[in-house]
Amino acid sequence: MFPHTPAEQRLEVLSLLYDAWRAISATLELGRLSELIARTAATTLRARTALLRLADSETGELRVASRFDADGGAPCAVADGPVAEAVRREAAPILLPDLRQDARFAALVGSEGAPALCVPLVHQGSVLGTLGLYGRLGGAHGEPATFGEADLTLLMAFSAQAAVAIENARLFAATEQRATELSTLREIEQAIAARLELSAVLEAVVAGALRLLGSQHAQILLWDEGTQTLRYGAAVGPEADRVEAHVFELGRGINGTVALTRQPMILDDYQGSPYALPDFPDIVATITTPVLFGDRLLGVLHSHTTEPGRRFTPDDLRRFQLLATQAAIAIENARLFEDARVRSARLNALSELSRTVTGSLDLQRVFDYVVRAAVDLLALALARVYVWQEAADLLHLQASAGAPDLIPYPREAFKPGEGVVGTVFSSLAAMTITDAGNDPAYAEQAWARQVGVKSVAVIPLLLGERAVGVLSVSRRAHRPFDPEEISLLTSFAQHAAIAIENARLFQESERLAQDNLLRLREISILNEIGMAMQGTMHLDALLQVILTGVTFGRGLGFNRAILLLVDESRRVLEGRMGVGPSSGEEAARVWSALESPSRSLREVIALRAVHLREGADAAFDHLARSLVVPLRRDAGVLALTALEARPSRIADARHDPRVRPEWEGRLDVEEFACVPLVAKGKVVGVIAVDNKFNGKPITDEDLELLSVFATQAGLAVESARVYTHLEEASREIQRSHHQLLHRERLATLGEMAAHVVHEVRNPLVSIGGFARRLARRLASREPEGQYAQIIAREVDRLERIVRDVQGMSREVRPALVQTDLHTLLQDCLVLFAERFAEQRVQLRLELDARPPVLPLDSVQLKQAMVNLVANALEAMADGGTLTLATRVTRGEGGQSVDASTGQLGSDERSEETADLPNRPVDESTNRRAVAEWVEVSVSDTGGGIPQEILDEVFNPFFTTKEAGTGLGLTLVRRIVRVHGGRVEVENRPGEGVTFRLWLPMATVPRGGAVVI
Amino acid sequence: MKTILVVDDEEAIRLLYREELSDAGYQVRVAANASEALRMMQQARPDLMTIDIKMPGMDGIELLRKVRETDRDLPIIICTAYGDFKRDFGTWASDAYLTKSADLAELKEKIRELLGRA
Repeated sequence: MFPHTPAEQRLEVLSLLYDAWRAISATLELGRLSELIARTAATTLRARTALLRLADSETGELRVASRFDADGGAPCAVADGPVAEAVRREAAPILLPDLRQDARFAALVGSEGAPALCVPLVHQGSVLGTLGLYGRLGGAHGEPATFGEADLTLLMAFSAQAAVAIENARLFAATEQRATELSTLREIEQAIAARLELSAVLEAVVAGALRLLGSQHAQILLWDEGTQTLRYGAAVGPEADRVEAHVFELGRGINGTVALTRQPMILDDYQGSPYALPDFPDIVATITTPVLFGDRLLGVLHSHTTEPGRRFTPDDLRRFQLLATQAAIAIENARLFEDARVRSARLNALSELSRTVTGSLDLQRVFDYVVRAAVDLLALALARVYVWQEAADLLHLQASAGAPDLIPYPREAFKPGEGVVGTVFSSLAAMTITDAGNDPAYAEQAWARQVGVKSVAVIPLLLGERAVGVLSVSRRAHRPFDPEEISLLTSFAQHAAIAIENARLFQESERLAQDNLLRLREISILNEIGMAMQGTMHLDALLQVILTGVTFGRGLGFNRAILLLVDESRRVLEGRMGVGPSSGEEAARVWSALESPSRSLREVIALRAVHLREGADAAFDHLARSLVVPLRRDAGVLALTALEARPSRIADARHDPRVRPEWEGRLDVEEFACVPLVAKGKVVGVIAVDNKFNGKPITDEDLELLSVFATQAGLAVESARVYTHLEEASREIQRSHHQLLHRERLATLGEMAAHVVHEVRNPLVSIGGFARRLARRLASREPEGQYAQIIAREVDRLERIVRDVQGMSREVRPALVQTDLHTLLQDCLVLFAERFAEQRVQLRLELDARPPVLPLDSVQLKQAMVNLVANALEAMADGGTLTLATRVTRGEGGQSVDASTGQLGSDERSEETADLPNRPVDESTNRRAVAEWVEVSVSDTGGGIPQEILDEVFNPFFTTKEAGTGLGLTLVRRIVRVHGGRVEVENRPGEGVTFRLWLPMATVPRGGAVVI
Repeated sequence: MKTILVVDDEEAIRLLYREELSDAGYQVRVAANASEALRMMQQARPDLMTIDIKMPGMDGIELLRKVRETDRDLPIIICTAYGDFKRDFGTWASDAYLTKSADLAELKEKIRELLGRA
């Protein structure tokens, strides 16, 4: 392949060069290029080994850039440093058939020797490096084993091209590095500038440094003007944690030195330098630059490597300084921003606080805001407001904010002068403590140690020359509160103090306004009620007016109210009326229907009272009326209210021992109040109120107004009572008068009757008896038989009149003897046998299987039964059925309405003998004693009694029939009553009437003797 | 035939009782006062006695007491115009106590009952 002719040779050379150029220009990457140069040179010139050396840009040392060893033969083990040096020195090639021929290089090769060809790589007159070929492979056609001149020429030409290529590659690399560097810096800058928060800026700076230098560790320390130290700003790398705790004084270590000298420094051998610190034994090399803003030191930017042999270059330093400059700007910006942000946040907070203070009279809200804002703005662990309570002379904890574990502070109150809180309050001067856990001035040292509270500031809430409280703030960090923070806190404290004053003034004025309002309400309500009361002196109507006033929305506005009056004779409080709807909706409906604005209170009260009269609120009224509370101290709060003549409020009815389930407890409400109704220094009753439906708390004002109202109402009630008493007394007198007349009349009548009866009766027996005989004998003769019959009937009538009058006039005490009732009834029926037949009245007996034997006055009871049977027969002149029934019942037989007593006229009632019970069955003693009753009923089918006269049938001298005195039923009832029983009339209009007697089986009424 | 002794101070009543009770099938003797009645009792013991309470001289209750002293078993009916003598314990010794009436049905019923029982 080696050319033989010059032309061929030339062509061959050109072709080789072209190929070599093509090869080496295919890359701009220096390493790859170096490799290609060595390989191309070696293969083209059949060298066993090619060595490319390039001068180091900094040291100038010729370093091996690449080496190529050809295949097929041992490489030429040559270290051609001296050869290359010689070539560079001379800037001329060396061509030796054997290295051993030159004494300088003899030692470079072994005994076998080697041909050498080394040429300089020259670019623009400077030697960039050398390209050396050593050893030669034998050619296929016996070509020489040494390098010749031609080879030299070729390699020289090739090296010139290689030099250009290398320079190109270097330029390219430099440019690219520059571009990379710039773009990295730009990115870093962007990253830094994009952050406004200092910590983020610092993190971006150290991250950029690491990227820029490719080192393992980068950090930035910040200069603290106050303490004249360098403190940790940010760090990245495996040693970041180690650096964090370090503080560097000026001049200490490499960082302290750089901060002091303000000159950047590179240490290639950190451990050997005077700046080495024992804490960092593995640092190899460092690079450190001050961060300056103008001539102001902001900090130190530092990076180091622990990689042996690694060093930082001046280029690194240049870029590092560039980064430091950017960092300075960014830090300054961030600080300005932070400052502005803090300032703005504080200003915002202050302005918000001002707004809160002026816009709200809710003191608690202001305090809450103050502690919250202080915690947020100053990054506090805890903020508290203590307010002085004049009455107790104590500073009370009023609001807290901060870390949840700190909120349950052990002390709620301080005395003035006690602890820091008390001292600041007394001295009016703010205090700060830097280590609360170890400061005896701090009241809760142990607590502070336990929870880690360190720095404390306490600021007085000043109002002119006096303190109204203190603001106490704490941090967990040791950092003391700086003047700016204190000034901000003072500002907060100022606002809080003003708020307290404002609230006090407002409460004062509100209280005054409330007083006025209250008084106005009082006057207007009392006036209205007074007017409403003028309309009536009737007690019930008055109670309605009072309770309406109490429950009226525009009045006292309670949901429900009960009025109880004292009954002196029974020593009880008796529920007289209850006003209260059954539900909240009902209440709303009632009041919205009534409370049209055009209606006056008086009208509303009147309307509501009408409602009540018509039975509204019936359920609650019923409850109220069922309350009978003994006037004893142990009988619950209603009784207590009356006994002590003092209002009471029950806040927790379910647990209050004064609430008794049988009385107040039945209100079934959490909170209620009772006020006494007082008249002329005497309690006449109690009003109980609650807000069951809207749950509105009963305030002191409510209670006060209700009490005032109750006094007025008490007077009104008393007046009404006096009036009622007067009225009653007058009625009573009138009644007594009538009664007296009546009694006199009756007594005279009685006496007369007693006298006349005996005289009249015997003749009647004879007349009647013989008339009956005649009637029987003349039965078949008209009209004599009929006449005799008329005489007999008229005598019957006369006899009954005589009998009734006799009954009414004589003393009615029964002579009770155990008597078989059925026998007695049979005796009666015998008397009517003829009349049953005459009138075609059927008799139906429905007698109890067991003949009842009970204590009876048989004469009296027979008279009663005769009257009933006679009445029944009279009602059935045209036939019918008379049913006589008896029934023994257990328990009380008279649960149904007692028509006889319920419908009594007052005249008849008063006629009763005083020692006889009016309503025997209602007497509890009787009710208990009587276990069995006999019910005797007489029913007819005579069409019943017209309803309008039903009420009259038991009245004396009332009669609808021509025969009779009108005393019959009166006598019946009287006889039954003195037997301890009662009588009912059951009217079935259009059908018939049943008279039903209830007689006790085994007991007698009071005053009677038991006879067995 | 059963004998009934009727003691009453009123002649008309005595006549009425005699006739009515005779019609009812009894032999009737009458006395106008207590002493006469006691005398007649000694002559012959009747099967039943009716006594009026209010009589001149010895009244009916006194008579009842006297009769009972010697004769515990004789059925005696007290007949009176008063309704309330029953309260007098003296009347309790009688077997029946009736208010006089023109209608003698009750009396006859009572007599029948007492004689039937005896």
